[in-house]
Amino acid sequence: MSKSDPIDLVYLQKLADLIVERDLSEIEIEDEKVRVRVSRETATVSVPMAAPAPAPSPAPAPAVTAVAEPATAPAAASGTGDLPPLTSPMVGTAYLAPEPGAPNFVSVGDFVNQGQTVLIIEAMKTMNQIAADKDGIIKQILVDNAQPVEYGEPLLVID
Amino acid sequence: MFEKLLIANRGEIALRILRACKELGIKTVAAHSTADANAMHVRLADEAVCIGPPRATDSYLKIPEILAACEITGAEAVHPGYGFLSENARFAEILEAHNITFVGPSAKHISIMGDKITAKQTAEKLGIPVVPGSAGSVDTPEDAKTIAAEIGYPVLVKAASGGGGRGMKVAYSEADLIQAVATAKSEAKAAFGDDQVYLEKYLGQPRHIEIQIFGDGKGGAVHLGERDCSLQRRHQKVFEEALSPVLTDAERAKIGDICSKAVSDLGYAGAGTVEFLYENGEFFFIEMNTRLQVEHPVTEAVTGIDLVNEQIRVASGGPLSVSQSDVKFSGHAIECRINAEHPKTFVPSPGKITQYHPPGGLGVRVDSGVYQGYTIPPYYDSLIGKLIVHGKNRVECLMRLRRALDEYVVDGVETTIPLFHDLLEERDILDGDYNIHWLERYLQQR
Repeated sequence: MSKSDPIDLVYLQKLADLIVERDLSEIEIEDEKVRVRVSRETATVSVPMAAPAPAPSPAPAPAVTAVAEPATAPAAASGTGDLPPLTSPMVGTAYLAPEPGAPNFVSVGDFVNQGQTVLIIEAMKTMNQIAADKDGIIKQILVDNAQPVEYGEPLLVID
Repeated sequence: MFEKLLIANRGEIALRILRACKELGIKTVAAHSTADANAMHVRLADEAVCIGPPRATDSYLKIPEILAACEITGAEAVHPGYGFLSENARFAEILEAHNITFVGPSAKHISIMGDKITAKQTAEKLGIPVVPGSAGSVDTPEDAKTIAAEIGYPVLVKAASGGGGRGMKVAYSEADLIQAVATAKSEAKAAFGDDQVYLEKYLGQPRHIEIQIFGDGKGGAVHLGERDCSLQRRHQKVFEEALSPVLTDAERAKIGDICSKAVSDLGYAGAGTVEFLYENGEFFFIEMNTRLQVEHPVTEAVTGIDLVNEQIRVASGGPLSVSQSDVKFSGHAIECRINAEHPKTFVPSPGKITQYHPPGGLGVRVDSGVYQGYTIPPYYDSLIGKLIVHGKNRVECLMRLRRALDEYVVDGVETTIPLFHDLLEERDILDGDYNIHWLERYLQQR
C-alpha cells in the first residue's frame, strides 16, 4: 500500500465483523489499487461433532467416581501423553482380574496382542471382556479394581 | 421418597426433572451422551454418567447402559422424560425386574396405549368418545373400501404403531383409498416395524384439545383441565394454550370427568394426557400419551400444581396432592416452543449460542437447558427452550407474550422467535380462532 492510501480501518473492521457474523474463515477483496485479505483461525467443524469445546465453568464434583468429563478427544485424556488410551465401550464396573484373588490380566510392562483380554467390565451380573485394540506394551493402567466406569472412560494405555 | 433418581433424558426436560428432584431433596444422576457432556443439567446434577456416543440409539435409547448407570450409582428410580424410552413398555418392565422404579405408569398401560388400535378400543370401552372408524386393523383392500364407505370420505389411514402425527395418509375418495392404504402400510413397516393400519373419519376443521390427567395407581384420579394445541407444523406442536379459548366450563368439566373416570377405572398411575380432536362441540379420542408432555408448563401455570413433583411422589407410593375439588383454574397461559431453526424455512440451525438473554418479569417462565456459550448439538431435536407466559386472562397473556418475545435474545443460531412475533399480528391468533390446519395454511401463504 502506498502512503497516499491510508488503510481504511473502518472498512477493515467491517470485514472482520462480517467474518465473525457469517462464521467465515477468510475474506479477500481486490481492485486495481489494493488487495485486502482478512482471515482468522477457525475450529474446523467436522460432521459428526464428536468433541464440543469444553465450557469455561468447572464441571460438578460428584460423590461417586463415575464423572462426566467435558468431552475431549481421546488423545487429550489426562496422563496419557500422546497415546490415545483404550476407552470403555460401556457403563459398568471394571475388574482387573478374572475373579477375586486371581492374578490381574495384565500389568504395566506386559506385552499384549490385539484381541487379548486386558480387563473385565461387569454390568448387571454379566462380565464383558475388554480386549486390547492393538499389539503393544501396557504403559499405564488408569482404573482401579472395582472402579465404576462410564462410556468413554480411559482404561489403559498400550504403546 | 427416593434418595437417588437417574434422569434418562436430555435438554430442557432433563433440567426440569432435575429441578423437581432437588426441591424434593432427591440426589440426581444425569445419564448423558458424549455430545451432552456440557449440558446444563449434567453440570448441575450430583452425579453424571456418560452412557454412550452422540447417536440416541447408542446412548439415550440404550437400555443396558442406563441400567448399568443405575447399578453403579445406586439410583432407585428413573425418570424417562418425554420421547426416548418414556413410552417403551419393555424399558419399564426391565426396570421393574431390577427393582428400580420407573416414574410413569405400568408396562401394561404403556403397551395398551402404545398400540393405537388397542388404545382406541380401550378408550371406547371406558366410555371415552372416539373418532368413527374401523373397529380394528384393516387388512384387505375390500375391507378398506367397505369400512371407508360406512365412515364416509374423506378418511384417514393410520398406522397402529404410529402416533404423534406419524404414519397417516388421507384418502379423499375410493379412488385414492387403495393407494393410501398400500403406502401407509409400507411406510409403517419401515418406520415402526409393523404394517397394521386402521381407518378413521378425517375431520375437516378440528381443534386439538388434550386433557391432562393424573392417577395414583390405586383407582384415584384427577383431571387438570385442557390444553389447546391446534397450532402445529407437520404434526409438531408449536404454540399451546391453557385453557382452550373455545371450551366452556361445562364442557371442560364434562370431558374432564369422563377422562378421570377412565383413568380411575384403569387403575392408571402417574401423568397422562388424553388427546382429542374437537369439532362442533364434540370430542373425538385420537390417542393417550402415557408420559409427561412437552407443553405441561401451561397446565402448571393455570393450576399451580408441579406436575413432575406429582409424578415423583406418586411413583414413590404417595397419594395425589389434590382431589378434584381442590383443582382450580386461574388465568390463562401460553407456551411457545422456540426451536433452533430458520423462522421461514425451518432448516435446523445447530451451533454455538454466542449471546443468550431470556426474558423475565411477572408471569414469564423459560424452560431451557441453553446458556451463553452453549453449543446446540446436531444429533437431537432443535428445541432451544419453551417460553411460557401466564396472565389473568387471555388478553393480558398475549400482551405479556409479545413483551417477552421482544426481550428474548438468542444469537449465533437461527431461531423461530420471529415466527411467534408474526403470529401475534394475526387476527385469528388474537381471537383464538384457529384449527389444526391453520398454521400450515398460514405458512404456505408466507
